[in-house]
Amino acid sequence: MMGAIALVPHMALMLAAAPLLAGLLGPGSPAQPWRDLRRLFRKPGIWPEAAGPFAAAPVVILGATLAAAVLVPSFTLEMATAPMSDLVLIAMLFGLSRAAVVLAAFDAGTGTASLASMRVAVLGATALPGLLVPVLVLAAATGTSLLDPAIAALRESGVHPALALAATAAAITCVALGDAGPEPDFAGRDLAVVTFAGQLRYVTVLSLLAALALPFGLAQAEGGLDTWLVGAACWAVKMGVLAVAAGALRRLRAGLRAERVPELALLGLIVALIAAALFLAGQGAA
Amino acid sequence: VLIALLLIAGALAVLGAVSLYVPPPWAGRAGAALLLAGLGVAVAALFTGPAELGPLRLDGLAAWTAAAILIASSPAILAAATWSLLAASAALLTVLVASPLFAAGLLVTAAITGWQRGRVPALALGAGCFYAVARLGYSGVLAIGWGLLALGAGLGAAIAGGVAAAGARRLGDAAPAIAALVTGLAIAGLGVSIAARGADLLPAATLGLEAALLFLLTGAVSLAALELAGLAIRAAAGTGEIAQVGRMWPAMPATCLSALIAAASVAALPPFSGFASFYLLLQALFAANRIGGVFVQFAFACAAAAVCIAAGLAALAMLRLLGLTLFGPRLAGSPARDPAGDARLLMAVLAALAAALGLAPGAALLLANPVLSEAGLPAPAPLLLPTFAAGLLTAAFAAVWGVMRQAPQARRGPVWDGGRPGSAELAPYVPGLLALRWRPTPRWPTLRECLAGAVLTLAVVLIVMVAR
Repeated sequence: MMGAIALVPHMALMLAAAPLLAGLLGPGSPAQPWRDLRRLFRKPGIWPEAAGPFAAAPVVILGATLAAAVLVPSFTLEMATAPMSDLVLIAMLFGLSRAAVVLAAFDAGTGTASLASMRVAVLGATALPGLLVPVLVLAAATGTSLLDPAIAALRESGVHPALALAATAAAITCVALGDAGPEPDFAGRDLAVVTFAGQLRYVTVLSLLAALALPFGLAQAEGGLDTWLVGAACWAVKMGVLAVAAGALRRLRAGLRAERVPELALLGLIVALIAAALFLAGQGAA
Repeated sequence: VLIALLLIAGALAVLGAVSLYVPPPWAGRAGAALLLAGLGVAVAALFTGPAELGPLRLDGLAAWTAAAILIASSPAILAAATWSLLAASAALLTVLVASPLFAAGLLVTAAITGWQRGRVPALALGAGCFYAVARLGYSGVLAIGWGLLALGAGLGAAIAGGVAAAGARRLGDAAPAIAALVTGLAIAGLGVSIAARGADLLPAATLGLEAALLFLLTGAVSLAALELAGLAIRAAAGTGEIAQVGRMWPAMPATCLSALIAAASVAALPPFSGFASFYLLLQALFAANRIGGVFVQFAFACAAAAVCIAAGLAALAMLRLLGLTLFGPRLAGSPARDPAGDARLLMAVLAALAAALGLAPGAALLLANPVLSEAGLPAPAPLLLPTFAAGLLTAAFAAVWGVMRQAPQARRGPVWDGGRPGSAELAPYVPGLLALRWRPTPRWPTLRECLAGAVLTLAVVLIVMVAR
């Protein structure tokens, strides 16, 4: 029961944090993204004249991101969605969101957007192993790819050096992926929805990293309001620390030439495989 | 009874060979009738009782494989769609009551119906190899070694198929590449299962076998739907060149929707059916990480990376194929329409089947229980995650749609591309892919190659059996 109730403040936190974090990391006022979203949402969307299912793309993009956000714990564990919050599912939900962006760019019918979207698709395909091999290392270490039991196991055993390396590999891959896809000619409310989806994806990824790499301060859903408040405060601190680090990495990523980005994704995979080897060697020695 | 059934199967083979010389409109119907006759033989074989056919165990596994091939074959697709639909439905029903001779009778007839195109012999060969690997692997001969061999070979085939599919320049080239991709992943799942069973990691073995069976079933349905859509688009556009075909969605919505569902399944995107197979395969690899020494375990980690590479390539190939043919700019000027009733019905059935497998793969996997018990594996835990994901996504989509309806309604307008009005009549292009020097050219193997492969497989099976 409390697990289901905990979903409400969890989603409220995630949805509120998405534009707020974008405002804190970007230039100008922290409230600027909120104002931009509100302004855009009041304008009608414009669909290309010859487009087919283009109209459904914003729904799929934000819907898939929203589904991922529901599964990733923010301030508490044991939410109602915990038995299904599997890392493979979360990764593939992000993949669905990205696929919708790519197809919408093709549907818009402009060559520039289509080419950019194909580049994004290639990058996504290159990055998938770099994201899922760290999940393998985590599953090998904790015996599961479900988030809640994995976090509980990490709290007990402490962070293994190989897991830290795996987290680094996942972070490198996330940096390579970037936080925005191509802009497939969205406008008005559609642009607001897609922009918000990007911000929510950013918060979800950071929240996931916070839960796995810094698994302290998480409340239990049955713990009551006071532990929830402590959990929320810890989450805010962790998100702040990770956001600063992610901001620095974004600046580095911005200076990288587009042709070099797949190499960065490949580097993520290599580091992930090294982490796997390190973990397995440790197991063998034990 | 066994001899009588084999004689009937042989007679059917002769009839099938004769049907090669029947004119095209009747060839498909004759083929489908033969399939139905083969099914009759299989059902008859069911009542002979499996006990007297001891060596031909693992019948359920073979039945799954044969049904997958049957659905994928879709004989004389556009000409005799109703017959194909009947045959495919009957096959699915027969899977429920798998029998030892089912596979043999069905494989022969299924091979005959697709003989002209050359694709079904290839699929039959793939299934034959699958069956042989399973027979040898689960019989306990070289268990871990067989498993690793199958895993490596399957992943190699899957990645080669993925690269070929992602670089295909004609619609016809994509089908064999996708078949290699899906079959490769299925064989990889089987490999994990065999290796895990050899190491007494029974839960991992169950997961691997489930993944393999689901890959076969969902892959066959998706492949058949993509083949149908490809044929319809090729017929409507007058060309199979991907660079020349584009923006088919407005003219052929039913075909394109069916292709979209099938492609999303191949790309392993939730909530479509391929996701469940991909998830099970990864879970099998996660659970199998205690097999052998450190080097074998590292090989499993590399295998997980290879599975992800194959899945990424599948997604890339499907996005490129859909993006260019369904939505991209259009060059070929001929008017396009959805195909007529029969073919459209078959497409709808396949798309519905692909969607249903995505929503409730756990229900489909209940069919695998006899196979699992044959292989000496424990019954699996119910697979609910994909169903849950589908429910969650539906709720999320509904919520977003509800919020978006509060905003002013969208309108249609011209798009701008690089400072000038965008147009669907732009020059054709095929976006560059990974800068690979090696690019396999996909094609279906010839009949001679299939026969050579079959003989080779049979020889390996016999040698190992005699050695035992």
